[in-house]
Parts: sequence; structure tokens; C-alpha cells
Amino acid sequence: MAAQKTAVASTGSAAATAKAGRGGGPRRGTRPGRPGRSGPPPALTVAGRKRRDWLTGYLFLAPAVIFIAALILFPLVKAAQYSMQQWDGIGIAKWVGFSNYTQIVTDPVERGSLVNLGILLIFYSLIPTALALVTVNLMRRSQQRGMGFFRVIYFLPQTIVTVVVAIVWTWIMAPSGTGTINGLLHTVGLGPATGTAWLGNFNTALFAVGFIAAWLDFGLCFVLLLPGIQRIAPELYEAARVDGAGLIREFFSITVPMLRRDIGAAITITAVGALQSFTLIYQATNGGPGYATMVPGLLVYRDAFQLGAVGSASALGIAMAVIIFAITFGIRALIERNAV
Amino acid sequence: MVGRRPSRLALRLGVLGVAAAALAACGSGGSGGGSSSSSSPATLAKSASGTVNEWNWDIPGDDPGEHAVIPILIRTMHQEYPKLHVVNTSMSLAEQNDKLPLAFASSGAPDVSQTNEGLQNQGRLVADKELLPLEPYNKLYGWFKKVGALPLQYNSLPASGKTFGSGNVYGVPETGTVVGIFYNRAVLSSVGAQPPTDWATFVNDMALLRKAGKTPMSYAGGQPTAYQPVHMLYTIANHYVPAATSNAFVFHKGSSPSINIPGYVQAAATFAAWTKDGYFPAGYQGLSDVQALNLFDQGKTGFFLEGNWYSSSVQQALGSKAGFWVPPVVTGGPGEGWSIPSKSPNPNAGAAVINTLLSPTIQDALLKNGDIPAVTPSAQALAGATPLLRSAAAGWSSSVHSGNLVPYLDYATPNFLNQEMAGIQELQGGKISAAALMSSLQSDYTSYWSSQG
Repeated sequence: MAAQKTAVASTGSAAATAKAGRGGGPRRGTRPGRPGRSGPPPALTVAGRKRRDWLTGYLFLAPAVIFIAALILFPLVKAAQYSMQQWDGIGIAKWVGFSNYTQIVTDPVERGSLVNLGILLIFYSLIPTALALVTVNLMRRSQQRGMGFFRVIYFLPQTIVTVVVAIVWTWIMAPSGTGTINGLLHTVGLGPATGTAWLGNFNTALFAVGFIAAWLDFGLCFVLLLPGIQRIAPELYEAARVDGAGLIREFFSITVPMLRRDIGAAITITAVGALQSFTLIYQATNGGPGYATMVPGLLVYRDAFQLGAVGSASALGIAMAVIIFAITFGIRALIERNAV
Repeated sequence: MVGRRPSRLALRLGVLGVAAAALAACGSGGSGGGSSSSSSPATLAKSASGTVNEWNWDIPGDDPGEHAVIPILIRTMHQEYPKLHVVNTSMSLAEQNDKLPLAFASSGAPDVSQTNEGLQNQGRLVADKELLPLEPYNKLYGWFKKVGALPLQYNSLPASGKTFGSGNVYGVPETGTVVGIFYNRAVLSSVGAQPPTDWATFVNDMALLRKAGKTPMSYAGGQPTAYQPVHMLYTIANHYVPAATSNAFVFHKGSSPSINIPGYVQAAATFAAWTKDGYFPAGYQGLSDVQALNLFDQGKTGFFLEGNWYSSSVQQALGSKAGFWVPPVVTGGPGEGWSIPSKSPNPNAGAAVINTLLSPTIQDALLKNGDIPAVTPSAQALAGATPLLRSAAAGWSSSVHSGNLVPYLDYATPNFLNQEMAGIQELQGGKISAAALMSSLQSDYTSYWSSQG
């Protein structure tokens, strides 16, 4: 066993060397013109060895490629195929072309769900990231002990099963009773004993759901940004302070630019989470009142599993995947363009 | 019960779906089909052995009565067929709707299972040839006569599975349900109101309660678990619309079945007016069904409009103060039908389970545990039931025989419940008018049926 392990390790490093050397151009993840990192490629000598390494490299890639092909690419292609069909999931499918896609635009419920999603993106992604950014900046300055404690506290919501979070928040947002928002407001004289049904009112439901989402994602963003800010050299802040920079100037001139990549990661992860949002909404409002909190994720579920409309569910799923790709690439492009 | 909501399940099924799709693609064409290895329909020999897998939706939260008789079923089956081993699997309604179509298509199908009436569940299963017609077993056991024609109509579908209300019978129910009006005698008499015996008294009672500053009706209108909005609309509509008209709409019969008619619009307008007049609790939009029930059980409201399945809870909380009024035209229907999957490993054993469920042992036990038995109970069994349940059972029996039983309207199309729940919330929120609600529901209905060819 041990001998085998050694053999694998040595072949592995050979393969890595070969891969890095091949082509001689810039390495992945490093753009031309960026100083540092990319040294001159190690030269390869024997052509035969090069070819064997090439094969070995692909051999090592094979398990991952097979996994991705079977579990991600194949279902993706299949979903694309279903999205062009009218199919109940078991019986015979009928080819319907792009009508499932045009339905996304023409059907008021599906269209509305995309609008809701756009608003929820702010709550799922931008607000928690912004709040986390401010919080980590403050915590860096305070230099207090017990950072670990806060890290745990802020991250705690992420560790609770979303169904439980949704149930607890429906209680907190109930129209009346002890321990509810309305109860609290009433106690301090700010409202009637029975106040707004936050999750059932047309004007507040979407924001109420958004609030829960922001609460949920804040901890995640916090944990994503914290290591980043701890990486920034304290000298930078000291220098800025010597130059007379205040809290706000420090924040925008040092913290934000230095955390660019971490912010990008936080926004991407939470935005993808928003696009896939289902559990929270299903449990808290089921898309209601009316269609005020309907999101594509819930429609996909309804279409595929309740209504046996696998075609339109797939079309909506593919459309969401395209949106996720677009957002991810958009954020990445933005970060790379503003690179220092 | 909450933990059983299928959020995780959806993910699991997503994977399953791909697998099933791949399978379906391989075996293209010949999906479903009653190609089980078993013999032709026959009564089960006493010496029968092996395992009988029986699936139902009888989790305690959803149907305490049917849940309570499962051990009795297993015991009775064991006495009858000592070498046979019954294995029970209970699941929530949502889980069942999601799971059965795939499970019945696989080799893991149960021997016998409950299926939900309507197009969403039974319709899909019949269309994909996943259920056996029960007529051959009826010839052996005589189930249909015991249960009566109307409840079986709900379980009847043509082979296409695209409509229901006629065709082969694919399910036999063990219970019946009616949506009626629970009332609190003490609360009513405190404002000088009489227990309702007709619609006019009921409406007048609510006005009296409102005038006295009380909340007339326990009602939950927002949360995903509450079905009061649709039950309220159906019950009001039953006052304005004859049973035959609603029946034609649900079963899609006649020349142009419609709910965009004056009676239904008037019902929706009444509903909106009650909302506006404060007949429902403040913040009803954020209440769950249990919270609405609690308000009634605590004596804070005069009425609670819901199905008889709440009768044991109400009986326990209010005792003799509680009453249950079943309007003359009433929304209700059989409990879930018992069906035999085409791929049932042992359909004859499955039929024996159904036959046992309709036996006096189980039927009387159902009444004892708060359910209306599908087979009209003996006077002796009735005498042992609670007063609330006696009213409910009498209402069921008379409406089944007079033809005044109206199916749950949401059976009409697979998406009807979703559209209706959203539409009623918009109606109550003042976003749309009563006429607009009915015309939009009707247009969804029309477009569904025209898409069915």
C-alpha cells in the first residue's frame, strides 16, 4: 500500500510538471502583464516522455471528467432536450420546439417570478455582502479579543436547516403574540396588538422573505470576507493614517480594493444561492400572497413534480442556469477589469 | 408533520427523475403496462404467504383516523392469512403526489396503495398505465355496492387519464369527508344567536357576532398549510350554485362547463365582502390552519369552517359546546382511494387488503377514531360516535344518496389549487374583483382543457 502511494505521488508530480510546461504560455489564472508568479517554464527534453506524460495526465483527469460528464453534463444536455418537449416525466414526449421558452416571457406568473428574483438578489447577495464588509472592517479596527466567538455567532444561521429557519421566522413574523415582531412593537407602544401579517401582506411579503434571506446569508459573507481582511498588511492602514486618511477613506481606498476578489466570491456564491432559492420560500409563503413571492425555483418544482410538466420546468431551469452563468461571468469580468 | 415537507425530497427525486428518464429513453415506447408476473384476479387463499407492501398517506397529522386503524388492519390480515406479512409505509400527501408516478413505474411498486383522486395523482397514474382497473375484483368482493356510486365516480377515469368522473374504477375509498361549519354554542348564545340550521341563520349569526365586537369566523388565509381559503369559497358557492353545475365543472362534462357564472361571481363577491367587513381574524393573512383552529378551540370565534377531520380536536377542546352543521349542498369527497398498481407483485393480496379495509371491523374502528366510514355504519356503531361525527356521518350519507355532494373544486385541473389559492389571496387583498377572479380561473381551466386536445 505504501509503495503504491509513493508511486502515485511521483507520477503525479511528473504529470503536474508536464502540464505546467506545455505550451509555455501564461498559466491559468494569471493574466499577462501581472508581475510576480509566472517564471520561465521548465524545459522538457525527450519527446517520448512528453507523450507518455500527456497520456498520464489525461488518465489522472479521467475520474473527474467521467464524474462531471455523467452527473453534470449529461443531465444538462438531457434537460436541454426536455425543455423542447412536452412531457409528463414518464409517458411519451411530444416535441414542441421553443414554446416552453417563449412561455417564460409571455406567462405573467413566470415573468413575475423573474422580477421577484431580481429584487431578492439584492437581499440574498448585495445587502449581506455590504453589511459583512462593513462589519469585518469594524472588527479589524477594534482589535478586540474574541473574534472567534463573533465568527461563530454570525455564521450560526448558516448551520441551521433552512426549513427550521423558515418556520421560526414565520412565527416571528406572525400577526400577533409573544415573541413576534408585532408583539415587540406593541409592547413599546408602536402598534396594535395584532399588526401586519408580514409574510401575508402584498406590500411586505417579498421584503419580509428578503429580510430572512439577508439574515441567513450575512454570516456566510462574513466568514468569506474575514480571512481576506486579516491578510491585508497592517502597514497599509498605518501608512494611510499617516497620510491623514479617515475611517471612510480607509474603507474605500484600502479595504474594498484589497478585498475585491473575496467580495466577488461572496456575491457570486450568494447570488447563485438566490437563483436556486426554494426551501425558504416554499416553507414560508409558498409563493403567496397571490404570486407576490413566487420565484423560478418554486415554479420548476411545481411544474416538474406537481403538474408533470417536465418540459417547461426544464426550460425554466436552463434559463436560470444561463442567468447564473451570465451573473458569474459578469462579476468575474468586473473584478478582472478593475484589477490593480 | 412539518419535517415531512419534501424540500430535500425534491432534490432526491431530481436525481431519480434523470435516472427514470434514462430508463424511459432506453425502453422507449412500452412504458407501464400491466405486465406483472401474477395470476388472474382471485380471492386470496388462507395459506397465502410472503410480504404485502401497503402504502398510504395516513400520517397522524394528516389523517389521525385512518392512521389509527393501520395496526388493526395488520392484525386482522394476520388473523385471516397467518403466513402473510403486511408492511406499512405512510407518507404525506405532497410526498405521495411526487413519488408515486416514478415508484409505480419501477420494479419497487407496492402491492396496494392509496392514490389521490383527481388528475394530478390518479390522472397521471392512469394515463401512464400504472393502475389496474378494479372491476374484476369488484366481481369477487362486491365493493362498489358497499361504497355507493358517487364516491366511486371520483375514482373513475377513462384509459387516457385526461378526465375523471367516468370510466373504469381505479380506487376504492375507506372513508368520506365533508366540509362543514363548526360552531360554538356558548359564543353564539352570548350574542343571542341560534345554532345554524340553514344559510340565512348562519349569515345572520355572523352579523350578530360582528356587531357585538367579536370575530365571527376562525380563518387562516396566508400560509402554505392553510386550505381554508378554498374551502370557504366552495362552501359559499354551494349556497348559490346547484351541485350539478359544480359537478359538471369538476368532471368537465356538458357542453361548456364554467365557473364564470353569476352564482360563482356572487360567491366570490360575498367572500370579499366578509373579508372587508371584518368577519375574519385580524392578520388572517399570516395565520396557519392550526392557529385558526386554536382561536376557535379557545372560544375566541363563533365559527370554524373546515372538514370533519378536525372534529376530534374540536370535540376535545369544546366538548358539548361544539356543534357541526353540514349545509344541504356540501363540498366533500371520499378519502383517498385504494388502488392496485399494474406492477403490483401480488395484486390478489392487494385486493385482500382493500377488502379487509371495507370490513365492519375496520369501518367501525374508523368511526371510533374520528373518520366518516365509506360504508354506511350500523346504528349501533353510530351511537358510539361523538355528536360532531354523528352529524358529519349523517351529512355524508345523505349528500351521497341525494347527489348533493360537490367535489373539491381543485380536482378540476392539475394546477387549479395553486391558481385558486393565489387568486383568492388577491381577491381578499383587494387586488382583483370577484368577476376577475372567476374569469381568470375559467380561462386557466379552458386553456388547460384545450391543451388536452
